[in-house]
Amino acid sequence: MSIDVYEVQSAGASSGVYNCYKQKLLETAFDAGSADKFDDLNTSPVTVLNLAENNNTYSEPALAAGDRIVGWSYTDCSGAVCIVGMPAVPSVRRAKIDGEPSSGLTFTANLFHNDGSTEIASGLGYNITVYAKVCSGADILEAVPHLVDDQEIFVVNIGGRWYMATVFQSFIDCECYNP
Amino acid sequence: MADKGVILSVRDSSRLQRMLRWFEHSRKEKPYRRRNFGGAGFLQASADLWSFEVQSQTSGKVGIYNCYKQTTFGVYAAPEYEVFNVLENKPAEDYPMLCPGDTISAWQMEDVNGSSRWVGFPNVPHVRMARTTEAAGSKTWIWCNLIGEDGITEMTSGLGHNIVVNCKIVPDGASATYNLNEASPRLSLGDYIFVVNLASVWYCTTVFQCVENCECYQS
Repeated sequence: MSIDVYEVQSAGASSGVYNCYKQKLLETAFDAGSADKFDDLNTSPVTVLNLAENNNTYSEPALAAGDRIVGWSYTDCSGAVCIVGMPAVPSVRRAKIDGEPSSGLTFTANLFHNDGSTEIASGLGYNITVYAKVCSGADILEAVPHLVDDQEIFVVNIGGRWYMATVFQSFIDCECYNP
Repeated sequence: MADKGVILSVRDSSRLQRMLRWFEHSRKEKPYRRRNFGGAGFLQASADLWSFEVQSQTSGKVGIYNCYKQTTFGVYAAPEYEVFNVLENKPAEDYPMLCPGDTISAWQMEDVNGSSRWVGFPNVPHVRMARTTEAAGSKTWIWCNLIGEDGITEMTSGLGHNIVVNCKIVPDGASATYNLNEASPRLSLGDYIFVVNLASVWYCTTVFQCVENCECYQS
């Protein structure tokens, strides 16, 4: 049995499961530079379970297309061999708000690709629902930071739900006093 | 009648041994044991998974570190191995994710040329603590030192020392950009913040809010 690297292509049939391509390590991997060190070994889909999404309450995927998973084979109690793994991406992700946030505790955002280059425009990681935690309040429109469209933020997927990594403080707008 | 021996080449002998080991493993239902290396639990595979301690960055190569291998539990020793951190693949900038004392769990992978390389993932939380080495200024970034894997040691030289931490300040758009000295929380020298390394760029995980200083009104 070996440990391999897989690249996410799309969501699988159940929560935390992804259709992936197995990766090969390029001969230039240990050269200096910023090039991708992996490439598709082939395009035969392999189903991989992300162990970090095991036993989720909710079902919003934690990974996006292009993310890598370090995987290995695991035999279940029926004797079937499946691939399980851990994501090769940080658990805190960069995202951009998509649309002016409205009243309540959720808003919509798009993840950035793992290489930090661009905002995801479709598929996994696009149009994710992000939940906010507000101290002493229940409306992000009455809290700081006061989010706006296209604002870049940081999010983390816990239990199959995306949360903004900053805790909000409810506040009241007022005028500055000029004596 | 005397027994006849079979002479095998070294290569065939080695192949036979590998086959015999494979048959042994596939016959038994051997459960995988959970093992902890530096705090990150994972399932030990029959492929050799080893723990390495970061010593320094391999010169000019972001994401590749010179490391000592763990000999017995918690003990690391020379020689140094080059280990690639898969979380730092395709870096956009030049700021390494790890610092001396961090540990990586790694295995050997063959590249397309058949060369064997150590590849692994870090045994440290993705969100790190850092300490500012200046007060908030007229810019959207701030100098910091990383705090090490032990949660106490500040990196005052080498890897993790003098990192640029980028901050996001609301509102953040083409029409207006606010600086850290116009935002809350207002960072001062020696403050502790939480940071994450994404594509070799350090970011503060807190999103800041631009504020206007004013006098408190007391009637």
